[in-house]
Amino acid sequence: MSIRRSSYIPKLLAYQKTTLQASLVTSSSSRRNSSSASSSSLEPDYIHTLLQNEELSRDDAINELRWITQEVKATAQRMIAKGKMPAIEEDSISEMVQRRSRGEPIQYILGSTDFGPLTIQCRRPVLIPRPETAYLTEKLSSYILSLIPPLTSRDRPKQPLSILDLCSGTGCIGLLLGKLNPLSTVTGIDNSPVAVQLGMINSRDLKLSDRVKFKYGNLSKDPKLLLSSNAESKGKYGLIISNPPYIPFHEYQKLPKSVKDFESPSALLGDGLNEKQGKGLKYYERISEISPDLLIDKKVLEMNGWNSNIPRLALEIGQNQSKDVIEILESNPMIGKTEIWKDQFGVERMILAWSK
Amino acid sequence: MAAILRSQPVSRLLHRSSTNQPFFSSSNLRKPCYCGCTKFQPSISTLGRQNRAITTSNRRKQDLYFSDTVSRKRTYASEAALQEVKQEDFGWCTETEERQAKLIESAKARVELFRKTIEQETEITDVQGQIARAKIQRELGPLAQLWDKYVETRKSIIDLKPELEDPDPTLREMFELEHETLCEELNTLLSNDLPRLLLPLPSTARLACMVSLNAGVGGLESALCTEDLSRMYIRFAESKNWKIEQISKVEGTGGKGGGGIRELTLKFSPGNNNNNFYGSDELEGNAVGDQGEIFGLMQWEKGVHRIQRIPINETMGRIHTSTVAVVVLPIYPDTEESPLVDPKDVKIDVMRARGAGGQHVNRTESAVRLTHIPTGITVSMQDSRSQHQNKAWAWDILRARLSEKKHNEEVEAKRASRRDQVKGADRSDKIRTYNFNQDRLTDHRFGFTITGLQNILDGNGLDDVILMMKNDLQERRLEALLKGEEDLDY
Repeated sequence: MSIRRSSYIPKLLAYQKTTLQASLVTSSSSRRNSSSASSSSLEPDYIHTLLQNEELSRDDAINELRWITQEVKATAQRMIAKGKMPAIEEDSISEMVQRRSRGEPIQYILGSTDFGPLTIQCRRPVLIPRPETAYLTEKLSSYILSLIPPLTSRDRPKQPLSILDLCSGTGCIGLLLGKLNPLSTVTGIDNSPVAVQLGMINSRDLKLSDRVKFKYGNLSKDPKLLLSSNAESKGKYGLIISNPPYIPFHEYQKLPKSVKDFESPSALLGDGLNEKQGKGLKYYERISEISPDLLIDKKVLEMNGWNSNIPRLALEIGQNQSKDVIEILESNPMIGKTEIWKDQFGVERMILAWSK
Repeated sequence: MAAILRSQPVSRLLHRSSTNQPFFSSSNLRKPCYCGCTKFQPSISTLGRQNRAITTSNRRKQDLYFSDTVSRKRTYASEAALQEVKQEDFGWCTETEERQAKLIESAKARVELFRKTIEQETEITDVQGQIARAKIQRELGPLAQLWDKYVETRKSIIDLKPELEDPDPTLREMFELEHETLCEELNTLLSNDLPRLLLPLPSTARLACMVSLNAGVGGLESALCTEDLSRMYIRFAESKNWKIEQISKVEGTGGKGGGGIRELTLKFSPGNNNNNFYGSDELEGNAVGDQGEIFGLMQWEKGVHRIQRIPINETMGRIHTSTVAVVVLPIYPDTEESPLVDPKDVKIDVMRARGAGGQHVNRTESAVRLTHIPTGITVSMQDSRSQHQNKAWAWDILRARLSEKKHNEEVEAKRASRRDQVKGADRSDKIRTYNFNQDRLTDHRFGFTITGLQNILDGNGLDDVILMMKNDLQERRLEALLKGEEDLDY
């Protein structure tokens, strides 16, 4: 559709119909009444319903109602364009508002969210991509791109950088890296079949499926099962990136409803579902443990034309976990330098590690 | 028609019964000047208001277009002078030619300029002069060619004229047909090709534009008026097949009678299927002959619109006057040759900070704020859920604001270079009154009144209103050309 239907154009269409009748009678006042009454009667009601969700401020509610309305109208437009009859808009809006008022994340209700320049589809209960992750992924990507010589140069990499995205969820990190850097291939691994499927759908819809692939895998099993199907470098990877579950159980209990009740606990709890103690670091320990089996030797990477300044591990962390994670990584003989990156709000959010 | 007649064999023509009606008579056809004189009338603004009441209706008004009505009403000193010259040799060839006298005179002046520069070719040696000459040649070359064609056609008409008195009726009929063909050719030349070359679209006319409506004085009623006007613009834009984007919207307060709109920003850009620029049906199908104009049409809307009516929430039946401020900004393309804005000059603020962040919380915040540091312009945008969409729109608005600045600078520079004070339209605040009780629209810039308000508010009649402005602009441009001044675009 070339014309973006704004939220009030359908109202105008109704208006238009009344105008046709009114122009015969030329009474402009009766016409005004009919059009304006419909605009004021319903919306404050919705706002009130949305405010039952304690996570929302009044401004949030106004914004979210607008987004819901926009989405419903856009969906209806798409269906009409395909020749199908959409559901009654009022019904869809009121259903979505009800769901939102019960605390369901708006990303699940509307089915998608922004991730940097990408729009990623979201489904219950796969973890919704967070803006911090998008920010850091873009930053990492531009850092990697800055290390590649110009594409016209003779020194440019002979092979694409093979990236492993552990705990890929919606696939957002891998998809964004693949999108921003054409000289890369990404394998996303998750142990939830729903997430793997969603990753594939996203990859297909973003037209990245030739370079960004998803498969089922479990971190606790044999790391050889996580190797990519590429014959080159024995299926090993140049870089591992991950946003693993990192919330300790005691923090999990205090999480807001929209996270705790709707997103998968296995994507959030850093010590597994049954462990009540601990600092949420189990995944970092495991990743550090298996990384020698998954990462290409530094020399091989350099032979392929990749600068030795390419980070080998990039792990998102929770608040105040930087020290512990760095400790874990420094105990790994393969890892040399580490670095902490802050997110856009100034919180320490990602650990990068380079090989020795 | 001309082509058909021409292709008929002469024998058939000879057998056609003749009515012997002369197709023209040299200067007898000229109607008396509207005000009874043939002397100088400086501008359309001096024309009597009482003569300018026009009704608009859904039916397309053919007589509203440029080459007819307005020109016919007016006589200029230059035209009078031209008539003296022309009447020495054979007078006007056709009625259209007479109407377009001013245009012809302007064209002649331009062609003379062109000829002069060609002659100077050998004299100019410095680079600057050469560049200036090349520019004139490039701009006026096609006009000069057209002018030659015009002179040639005209000459053949005049040459043919004595033959029309031929005593042999069959021969005479042949000559008359020939004459008619030539006259038609001349008319097309004058009413289609010449205006297009002489008065090309201003460079800004096809730019996309940003239209912002703000409710002014008048409280709730003003918000309702804003809604009505926005509806008018949206329907107008839809009828033009433009792409409409709603960038931001602030609903009215609500209350008795309904909400209305306090503030609305729309972006109009060329639609996908709007590719009939210079199409053959340009002047027939579309009286304005848009040629893909967007800012060129919408620029006439900027200013304060005054609405007088009995509001629906008025219980005593009193007429209220409320205002709506309309701002129209052109959006210059941000090309590499003339960058509007250096991304380095813009600070982008996104969202507020939050607690633990990361997996701990799940909030969508998409608000974006841009600050253009050199000018201090800030733009905030949070209408869409998508942050990059908000960012894109915020950039659009920022570009539009900077475009407006650039546009104003350009216009000012042009105005400064003009000798006399032009009655610029952008200075006046109140540009229009919509009076519902009298069913009239009055435009204060040129002082015309048009009835059929509902049709205008439905977007259909707006064409006619804008056309009036455009015609006046064309007239003023011609005058400027005659005086050898810079071209105008507002």
